[in-house]
Amino acid sequence: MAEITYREALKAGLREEMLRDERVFIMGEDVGLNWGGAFKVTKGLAEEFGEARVRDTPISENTIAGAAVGAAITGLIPVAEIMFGDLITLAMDQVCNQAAKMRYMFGGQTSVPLVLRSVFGGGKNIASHHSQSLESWFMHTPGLKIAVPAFAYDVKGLIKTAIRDPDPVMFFEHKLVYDKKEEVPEEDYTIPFGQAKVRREGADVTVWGTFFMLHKAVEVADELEKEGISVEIIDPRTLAPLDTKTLIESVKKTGRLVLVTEETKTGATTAEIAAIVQEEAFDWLDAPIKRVNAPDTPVPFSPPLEQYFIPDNKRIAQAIRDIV
Amino acid sequence: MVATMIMQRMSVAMEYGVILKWLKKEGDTVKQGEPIVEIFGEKNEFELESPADGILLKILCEVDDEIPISEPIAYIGKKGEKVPDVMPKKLNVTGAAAPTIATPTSTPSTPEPKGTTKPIAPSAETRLPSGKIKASPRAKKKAKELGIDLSLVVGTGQGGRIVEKDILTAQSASPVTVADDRKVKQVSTLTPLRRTIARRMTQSSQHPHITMITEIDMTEVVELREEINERVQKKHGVRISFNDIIVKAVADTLERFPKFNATLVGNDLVMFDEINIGVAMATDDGLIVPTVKEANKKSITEIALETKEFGRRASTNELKPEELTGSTFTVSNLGPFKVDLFIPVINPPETAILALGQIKKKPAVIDDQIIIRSMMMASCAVDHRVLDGAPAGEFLAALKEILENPFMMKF
Repeated sequence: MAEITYREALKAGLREEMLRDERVFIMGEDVGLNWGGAFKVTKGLAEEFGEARVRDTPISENTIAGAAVGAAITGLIPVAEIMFGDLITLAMDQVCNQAAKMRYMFGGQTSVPLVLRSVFGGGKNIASHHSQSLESWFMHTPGLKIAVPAFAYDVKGLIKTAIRDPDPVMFFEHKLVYDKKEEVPEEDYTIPFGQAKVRREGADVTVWGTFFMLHKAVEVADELEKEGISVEIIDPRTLAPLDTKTLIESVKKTGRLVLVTEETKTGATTAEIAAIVQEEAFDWLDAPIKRVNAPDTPVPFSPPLEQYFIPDNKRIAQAIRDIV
Repeated sequence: MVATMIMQRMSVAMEYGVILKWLKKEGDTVKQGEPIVEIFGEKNEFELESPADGILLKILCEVDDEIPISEPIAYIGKKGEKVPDVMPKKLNVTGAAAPTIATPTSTPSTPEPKGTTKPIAPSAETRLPSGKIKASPRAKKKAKELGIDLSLVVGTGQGGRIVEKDILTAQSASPVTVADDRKVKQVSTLTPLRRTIARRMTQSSQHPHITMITEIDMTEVVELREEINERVQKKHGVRISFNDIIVKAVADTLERFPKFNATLVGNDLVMFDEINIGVAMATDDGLIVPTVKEANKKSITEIALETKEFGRRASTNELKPEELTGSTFTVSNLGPFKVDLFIPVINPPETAILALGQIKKKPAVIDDQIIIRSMMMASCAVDHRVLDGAPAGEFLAALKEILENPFMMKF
C-alpha cells in the first residue's frame, strides 16, 4: 500500500466520489482551474471534470453556503469549500439556521446532502482571522454532522461517508496535517461516522484530542513510554455524531483523562467531553480530568506568541505527568 | 448572643482532637477562660477553655468522639437562647467520609522570632480542613467494593489525594476480624496516642526503607563517660547516659549530612537548618519522641540534663506539645532492654533514623590480637526515595569514626 499525504488522500476521495456519482460537484473561492484552492486540495480536478463540476465562486461565503443549500435540496450533492474556517461566520445563517434545520422544520420532506469543507488551526503565522479552531460552535447546533479527520487514511474514508450522507456535514481539516503521510488504500472504502479510533493503546492515561494535537500526542506518548507511562490515544474522527462509548471504555480502563485541542479553552469541545465523562464514568476517574487548550485570546500574529499560544509537546506531557 | 466553642488546634501536628472528659455539663454556668473539656490532640492532653461567660447550653459531642479542628463542640449563651442547628463532623462516626488522618504531619516549625527566611514547605494533606477525605471517585468505588475504610488509607496522589493504587496497597493490609470461637480474654481499645502511633507507622511503611548495619567499638566512649560522670555527677547530680553521648555524636555528624536532616514534600526535599534530635522513649502508654532542639549546639551535659527532664515529665504525662514535635532526625536506643540489634521504622516525615543495640563486651580483633572491647550494633534506616545505600553507609561510617574517637567531641 502506498504512503500518500493527507492532501492527496482527500483529493483521491473527492475524485472517486465525483467519478462514482455525477451529482457530486465542488464549489468555492479559487478551487477551480489552475489554482486548486488555497491548500491545493482540489488541484487538477477542474481540469479533469470541467468547470461546471469544479466551480470558482465570488468571494462571498454567504453566497457559497446559500447556493450549496439550494443545490442540495434540489437534487445535487455540493462539496462547498470555505477557504478558512474563520470565514464561516459570514455563512452562519445558511449553515446553522437553514441547512441544519430544514429536515426537521419541513417534517422530513427534504434533506440537505451538502458537505461544507473548511480548514482550522494555527501555526502558519497568518494571524487571528485565519488561524482559529471553531469546531465547538457547530457541536452546539443540532442537525449538523461534523468530521474532524487528522490522518490521511481517515480523511479519504470520511470524505466519502460525508458525500454519501443525506444530511449536512461540516468537514473540517487542519492546515498542518495536509502534508502528513500515511498508508492509504487505492480502493474504495468508507469510515462510518461516530466511530472513534484508538490510535495507540495504553494503560495509565487516556488522551483524547483532535487534529494536529493528535500528532503531537503520539510523539508525547513515545517520549513518556520511556518514563514508564503508558498512554492511550483516542481520535474521535467525528464530533457529531460523537463516539462516547470508545472514550468511556478507555477511561474506565485507565482512570485518567487528558483532553488536548488547539481551541481556546472556554467552551471548547474539550469542555463538553469532560462533562460527558464525569457524567458517565465518574466512579472510574482516579484523577481530575485535565484540559490542554490555547489561552482565551485571539490567535497572535507574532510568531513567538503564536508558538506560545498553541499547546506544545511539553504542555501535553506535563498535563499527563500531573495526574499519573 | 450564643458563643460557639470549637475544637482548637493545640499543636502544630494536631488535625483533630479526641474528647476525653467534659468538665462541665449542659446547664452549668461557666466563665470565660474556665476549662470546659479535656481533649487529646496528636500526642498530648489539653483543656479547652470557655470562649465566653454564660450557660453551657449544648454539648455537641461525646467522650471518645474524634472532632476535626475548627468544628463546633459546644454552645454557650444566655439561658433559653436558641442554639444554631449545626453539628460537628465526627471522624469516628459515619461510614463513607470517616476517621483518622493519613497524612504527613506538619513539618517541624518552631517560633521564628527573627526575620530569618525559612523555606515554606508546600503541604500535601489527605484531609481537607473540614476533615473530609480527599479521594478520587475511582478510589472511593474500589474502597467500597473491597470494604476498605478510607480513613486508614494514606494518599499518594496529587496533593495527598487517595488514588486507586493506595486502596490496592491498603487491601494487602485489609481489616482483620475475629469471627471464630477462640476464647477472648479482653478487648482493649487503642488509646488516642496508640492510634496516632499506628497511623504514623502505617504512613511510614508506605515508603521504601533501606537499612545499613555496622558495629561500633564503644570502648573509648565507655571510658570517656566514666570520666565525665565523675565531674558531672558532683556538679549536677545526674549521670550522663550512653544515649546522651550518641545524640551529640549524631547531631555533629548530621551537620555534614543535610539530606539526613530533611523532609520530602512532594518533589522538594526540604533540608533543615536546625538539627533537632528526637529521642525515642518508652512510656506505659506507648512510644513518644521528645525533641532535643539544636543538639549540635549543645554540650553532652546539656543534652543529658534535658533528656533526664523529658523522661521525668514523660512519666507524669507533662510534656508540652512543642517538646514532642519538630524533630528532624530520630535516635532510638533499645540497649537498656538488652536488645543487640534492631531494624527501625522511620519517624515520618523524617528521612532517616538511627537504631542502637546494647553495649556488650566482646572479643575483637585489633592489630591481629584478640582483645576484649565494648561493642555496639547500630543500624540506620533511610527513606530510599531520598537516600541510597552509599550515603547511608557514609553516614554510619562518619558516626562510627566519631564514637570510636570521642575525644574530638564537644563535651
